[in-house]
Amino acid sequence: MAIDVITVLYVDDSPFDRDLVFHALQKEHGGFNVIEADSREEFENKLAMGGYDIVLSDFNILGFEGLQVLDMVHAIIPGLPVIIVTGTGNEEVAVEALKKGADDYVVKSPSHIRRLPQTIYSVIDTKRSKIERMQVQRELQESEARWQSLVANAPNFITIVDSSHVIEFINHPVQGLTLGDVIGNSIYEFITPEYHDLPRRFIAEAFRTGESGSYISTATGNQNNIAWYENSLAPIKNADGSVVSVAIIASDITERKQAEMRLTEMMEDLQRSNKELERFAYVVSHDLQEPLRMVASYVQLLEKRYKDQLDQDANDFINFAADGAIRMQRMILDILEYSRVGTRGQAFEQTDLNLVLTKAMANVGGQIEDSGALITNDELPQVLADEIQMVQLLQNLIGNAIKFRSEDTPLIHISSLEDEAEWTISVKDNGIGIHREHQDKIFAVSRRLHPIGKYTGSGIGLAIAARIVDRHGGRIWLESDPGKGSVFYLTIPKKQGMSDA
Amino acid sequence: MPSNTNNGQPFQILMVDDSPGDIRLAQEAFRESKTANEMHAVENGIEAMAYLRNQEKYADAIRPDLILLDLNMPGKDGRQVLEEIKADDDLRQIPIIVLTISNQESDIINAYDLHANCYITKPIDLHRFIEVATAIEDFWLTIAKLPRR
Amino acid sequence: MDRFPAHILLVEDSPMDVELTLDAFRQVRLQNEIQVANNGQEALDYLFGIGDCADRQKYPMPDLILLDLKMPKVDGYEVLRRIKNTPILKRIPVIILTSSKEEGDRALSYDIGANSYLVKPVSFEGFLGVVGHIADYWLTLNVGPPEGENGN
Repeated sequence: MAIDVITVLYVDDSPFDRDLVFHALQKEHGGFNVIEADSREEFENKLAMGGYDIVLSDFNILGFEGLQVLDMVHAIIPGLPVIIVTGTGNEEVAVEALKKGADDYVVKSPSHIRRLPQTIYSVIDTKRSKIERMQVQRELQESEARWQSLVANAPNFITIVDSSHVIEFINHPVQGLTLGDVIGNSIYEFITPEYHDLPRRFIAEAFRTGESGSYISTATGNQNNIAWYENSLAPIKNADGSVVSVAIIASDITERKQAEMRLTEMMEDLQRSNKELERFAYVVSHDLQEPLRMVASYVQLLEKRYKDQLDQDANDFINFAADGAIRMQRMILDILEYSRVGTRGQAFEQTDLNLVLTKAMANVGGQIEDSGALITNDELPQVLADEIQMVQLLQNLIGNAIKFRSEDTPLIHISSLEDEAEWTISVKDNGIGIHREHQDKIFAVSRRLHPIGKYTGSGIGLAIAARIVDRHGGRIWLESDPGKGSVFYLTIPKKQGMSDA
Repeated sequence: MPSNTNNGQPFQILMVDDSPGDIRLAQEAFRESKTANEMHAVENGIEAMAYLRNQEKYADAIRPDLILLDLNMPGKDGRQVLEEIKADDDLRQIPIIVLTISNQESDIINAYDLHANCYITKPIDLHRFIEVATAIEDFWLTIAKLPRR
Repeated sequence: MDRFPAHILLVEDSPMDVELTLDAFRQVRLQNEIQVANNGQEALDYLFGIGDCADRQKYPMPDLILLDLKMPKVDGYEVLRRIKNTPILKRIPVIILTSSKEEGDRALSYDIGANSYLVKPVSFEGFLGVVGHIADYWLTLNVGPPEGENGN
């Protein structure tokens, strides 16, 4: 930052000397703006006004004692450079002036005074760079202090390890330990043994590739409980780009981990209790069949043998009992079939849906024949599924389409759509359709257990279909235009993850 | 020789079942049969073997042409009876129809492995029971050739 | 009691009887897949998956076997014996379909483990009846061993 005009406050009580100096500075063609003072009083007044780049002072000024001028300048404008001009060529005086804090001195002789402008420039430069240096240093210190405080107060553990994974630095000691206990030791002394592999691999990788990474590890926390950490690695490189150490920033995720584990536990509990319920439904419906067979069979025998031999009341009573038994049997079989989806499922294997469709159609062959339904299909894919359940699924959907047919010949078309993650299978019909308000209830088991009215039959088919799709990790839904028909869609993921089989 | 008897005598059917209700139903169903047959019933495996070997109170029992065998019974169950009959040189020719409530795959496989001649699940009501009895009668007593007693 | 279209293996050396049986099955409109083995050896090759028969997509394990007794070289008894002495294979119901009314044949067949014994009717009408009964009884009423369990 070059200063175009240097403002000089010059105090000297000798008019002759003032001329000499003034003349020397004049040669610089306006490079200097010289403010003069010839007494202590005037100097003080002018100094107080400020705005100077440098002070020139005679060694001996009336009213000042020796180099008192230096103290005054430093007191009023700290850092303002002062050059002493002396009348004598006395070296002692010069040394004393420098000792007292003058920035330089110049002898007031015609031969020396010519150097004055250069001296002024040099003093100002030196002073300025010194100030700049100090400022940089101060900023550096402040910045360092900021970082230190940030690192020290960070909730994370920040550790730096060398290439043999020994700790060089840690921002604050692990609970119960001092910094000295930690630094210089292998990082693995502070990680639960079964979690050594990950950090070993990741740190080595960070040293090798210079890339960052992250992993989860556990450490023994206070009270000997396990603490979980999510660790981010940041390689520290030198000027030529090779990794000299690796910083590991470890965040305590114990709470999150514990919450996750609680959630997993709850999910497992839920699945277990669901399975138990399913199992219970299975056992109950299975075991109820036996006594119910007896009730149904013997009421029928009564009907067969004694119908019209008793009075009309007896006929009615027998009819009601027989009808009730048959309906109850149907419900029990429905529940049994529904609960089988979860409890009697087979492992998922590559399954050809074309073959599945053939089998499904054979199973509902009677319905197809009776209704005159025309069933067509596109080429269907291979999916990872339980084949027996896939047959049941398609058979239930086809059966449903036939059951809810309109007056027209039932036309049913099965096709498939592929995307990256899943197959979408659709079953389209030209039946009576389903009103919007019923669409979400149609897959629920609760309302399908009471098949009353025109369209009766095994009412749980769609609930079983939905349960099968669910077990395969897919979704099922429908689009319907009442009076024109419905399309049932279901998805089957290409990769099967967890199944409850 | 008319086909609806066995050498002029009524067909002998032995039903092994611990459920009196099922025995009675089977008797009712076979009563409607076109073929001359006699239903005998025992309620467990021990009785069944005694019957087949004419032991004690079954000294005069006629060797059955066909056995209807339940699987789950107290004492000696149907699997054991099946195994014992099929290991017996004298009895193994008698066709055995497993007639059970179970439709578990393991029971089905096990029965065939022990050489059951066929496997039928108990019908869920009277009408189906009559159909089953008729089908058994049609096939085994009319069209199939049974071994001579 | 919905069953998939059942696979039937017919083991019969007389082309005429093969034709009669297939015709009868067609007449009762059974949509079963019927594979024919023309002699005992072919039947064994089929069941034990020898040669081309290893391809179970093309030659599926049968759900029911109809077996003639009198055949040259490997006869029906031998086939029956091999089936009933082989784990898993022995689960498949085998119905003897023969022209023999000999009591000895009947006894021996049941002895070796035939599931049933039928005498070939002389008339086509009779054939129709027999096939109809086989369909009603063995393919509808009877619970066969589960699919996929009767061999690989």
